Amino acid sequence: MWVQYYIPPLGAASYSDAASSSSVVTSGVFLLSTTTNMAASEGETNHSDGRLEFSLDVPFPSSREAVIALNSLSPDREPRKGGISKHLEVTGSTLSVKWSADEARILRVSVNSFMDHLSLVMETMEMFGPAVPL
Amino acid sequence: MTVVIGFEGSANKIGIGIIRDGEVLSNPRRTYITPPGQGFLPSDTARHHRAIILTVLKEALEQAGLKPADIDCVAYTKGPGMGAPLVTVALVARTVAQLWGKPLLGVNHCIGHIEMGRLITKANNPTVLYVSGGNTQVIAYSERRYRIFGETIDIAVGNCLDRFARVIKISNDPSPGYNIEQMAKKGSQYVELPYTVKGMDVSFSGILSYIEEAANKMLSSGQCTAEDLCFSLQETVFSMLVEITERAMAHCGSQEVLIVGGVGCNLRLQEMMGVMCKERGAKLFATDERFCIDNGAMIAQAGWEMFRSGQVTELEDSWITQRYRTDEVEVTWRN
Repeated sequence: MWVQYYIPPLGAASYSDAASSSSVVTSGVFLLSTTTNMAASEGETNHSDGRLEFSLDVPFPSSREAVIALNSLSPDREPRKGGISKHLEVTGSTLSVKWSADEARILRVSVNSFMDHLSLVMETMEMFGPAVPL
Repeated sequence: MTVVIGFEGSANKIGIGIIRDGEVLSNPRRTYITPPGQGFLPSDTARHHRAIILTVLKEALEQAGLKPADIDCVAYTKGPGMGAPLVTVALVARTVAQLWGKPLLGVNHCIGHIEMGRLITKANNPTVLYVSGGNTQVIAYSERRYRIFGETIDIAVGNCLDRFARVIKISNDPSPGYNIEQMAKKGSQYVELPYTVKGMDVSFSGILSYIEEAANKMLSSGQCTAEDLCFSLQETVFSMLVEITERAMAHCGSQEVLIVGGVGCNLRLQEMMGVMCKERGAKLFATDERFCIDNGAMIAQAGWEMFRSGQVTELEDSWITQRYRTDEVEVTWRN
């Protein structure tokens, strides 16, 4: 199922970058797709291992910003040892994150904290950018 | 000239400082202060840092009168400390390092304290007593490592003081340790407490349990005052610290002592250490609250030394770590 997810105060809506003003993100909406394999789900995806999956796409004005966010957000490993994995990658100017977890509770904690971290990185870019030319 | 900006936020202080070749250009700091009786929890502390860090960064640049282009390296605390606050600060450091196109450098918090103390006091090769809310170590330099000669086997001395302050509801503003120090000046009766030096190491958790119980009994029955307990606690734990510092000095043949860390700005500790140093013909070095207590400049200073000796931290290696011992770092900037 597809869910529209809003990040109220510091989302992409307020993010602008002088270097690529033509490709500003038009709204603060991130598209999230969540697929779960629980019995009650619609069952369009069938994961054999029974894990919960969650994915998030974050659009940036250019690939430069997307790569900066990737590099800032990826070094720290998940605090807990098992039960969850997270994968980040950049395609074009979009940062994509995929979670796979054993329990909804663990997934929620990880996604919540990722959102906090993401909004801090975006606010930092907004206040101390634009990025110097490479 | 080398200009380094340092980000610190491993505990309840968030600080960002800029150093240019030994000169502190700016060093703004904010402290997360909890109500009396309460300690600071990781997630609340991270939220505090998160809310204020960009303002502090702006201040640091403005006070230094510098533009991002003037900075040569971005240093941040890699550890040790509380995970959530460390991540918050590291995220901003990583992001600005990339935005500004500058190298990144992960600094050991303890090394930051030592290098800042050496810079400010000009102590050459001191035996270091590092005392704070999270750490208690006696350290001496040898063969490219800051080696730990003695340390706490349980809680830090500052943690013992902070938690005692919570028991008798002493204010955390500006810090529990400062308020204990002021109250201790009015204490007159010494209440005997356990004295727990174990070889080169010390232990504070038993003292804390003992004084917690004593406080409940003795204060309600009027056998002593809160001021007496503050006085007795300080005298006991500081004596222990002076003892292990002296033993480390004797072992190393050192004639210098440097006190660093938040508890290090306690004047009674400095006074007691001064007496011991005088007896041995040694010199005591200490700094005031600006540089003793966690601050950004100390991370910048350690970062400056590391950067000048050729170290940088790649982004993929820039993860934070809650445990990071002082002796894990190879000191590439000293002989």
